Amino acid sequence: MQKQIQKIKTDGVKVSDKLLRIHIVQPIKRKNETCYIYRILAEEKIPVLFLTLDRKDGDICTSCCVDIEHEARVRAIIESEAILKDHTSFTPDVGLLSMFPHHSQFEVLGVSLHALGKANLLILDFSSSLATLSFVLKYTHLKRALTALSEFLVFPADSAHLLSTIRVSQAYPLNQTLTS
Amino acid sequence: METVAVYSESKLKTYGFKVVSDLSLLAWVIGSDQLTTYGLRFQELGERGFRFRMVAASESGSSRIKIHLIVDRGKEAGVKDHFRAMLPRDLEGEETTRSMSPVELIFFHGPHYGDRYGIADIVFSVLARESIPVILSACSGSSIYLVLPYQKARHAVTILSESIEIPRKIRSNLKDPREKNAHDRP
Repeated sequence: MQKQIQKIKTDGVKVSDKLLRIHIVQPIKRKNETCYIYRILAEEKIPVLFLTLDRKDGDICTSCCVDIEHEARVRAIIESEAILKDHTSFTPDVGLLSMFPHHSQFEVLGVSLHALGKANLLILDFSSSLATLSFVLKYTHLKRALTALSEFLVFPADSAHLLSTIRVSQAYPLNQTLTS
Repeated sequence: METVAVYSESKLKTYGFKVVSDLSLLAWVIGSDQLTTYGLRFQELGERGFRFRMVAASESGSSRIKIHLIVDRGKEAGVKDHFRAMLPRDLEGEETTRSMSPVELIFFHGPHYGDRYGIADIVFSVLARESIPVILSACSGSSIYLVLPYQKARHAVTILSESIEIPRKIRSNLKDPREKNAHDRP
């Protein structure tokens, strides 16, 4: 007999605007070289909306997302950086789907992967944070992803925000003495 | 309606650092066609009472995804056993599983971290300056998670605290992050 699906309740889901995904896999040569991309993005005053990083066998692998409006500038800068350009790939027009809370429960993680896999949606990155489980998907897949997840998860009726409602303007660099 | 917040902090602020020790990192490289199967296995883990501390994954080329999972060290064997029966076919010789134990986790969050520039650079620069390798990291929303080698977290918190301030009012309400079980489950 087929197991009856009991949907998991959530408090909400949020969808980002269009983002650019930057993916870098490069050998670690010098200790300060490992996260050079983040130095560049800081110098260019570009916020990082999502980031994963891991290292293995002398390579560092990192993915991050920035607002798509920075695409031309980021591509130009990376192209001009010899230590990055051959190790970097870009995926334009991605989006971030974040749902909460996960309560550190494998059930939420499991049904999400199952639902997205069943819908044949390519997951570029995902990670947990304090309360949220976030997936980086192609922007054009976000609505399909919401539909697929809704088969297993209950979202409040008005929880999917397709546009950001808060924009933060940062007037000054952080900890100026560190980055100057 | 647009909400505008302007930050002019002389020092980055956080609501506090949390440290968890005695953890294990498990990693799998799986084909995207195996996602549904792994999803079901993760659900089963949940039904058996297992919980995770952190999960992070990235597409690693050729329709493969590398999943990193952080669990309490005492649960490592149980999680491994659960997956052992279904270890994936050898993906062209690439390592499909790995584990590292023990590792430590630091996590913290602060106001609008995800909307502001320079935060990742501060964190990674400080750790690189002290030669503390970051094994795994994930940042989304306002949270930063860092997986570090065993017995590096305490030193990392000390040096991160030099660059990232915990406001006094918040600090007085915090447990010592090095205290056992200081991790607050949401």
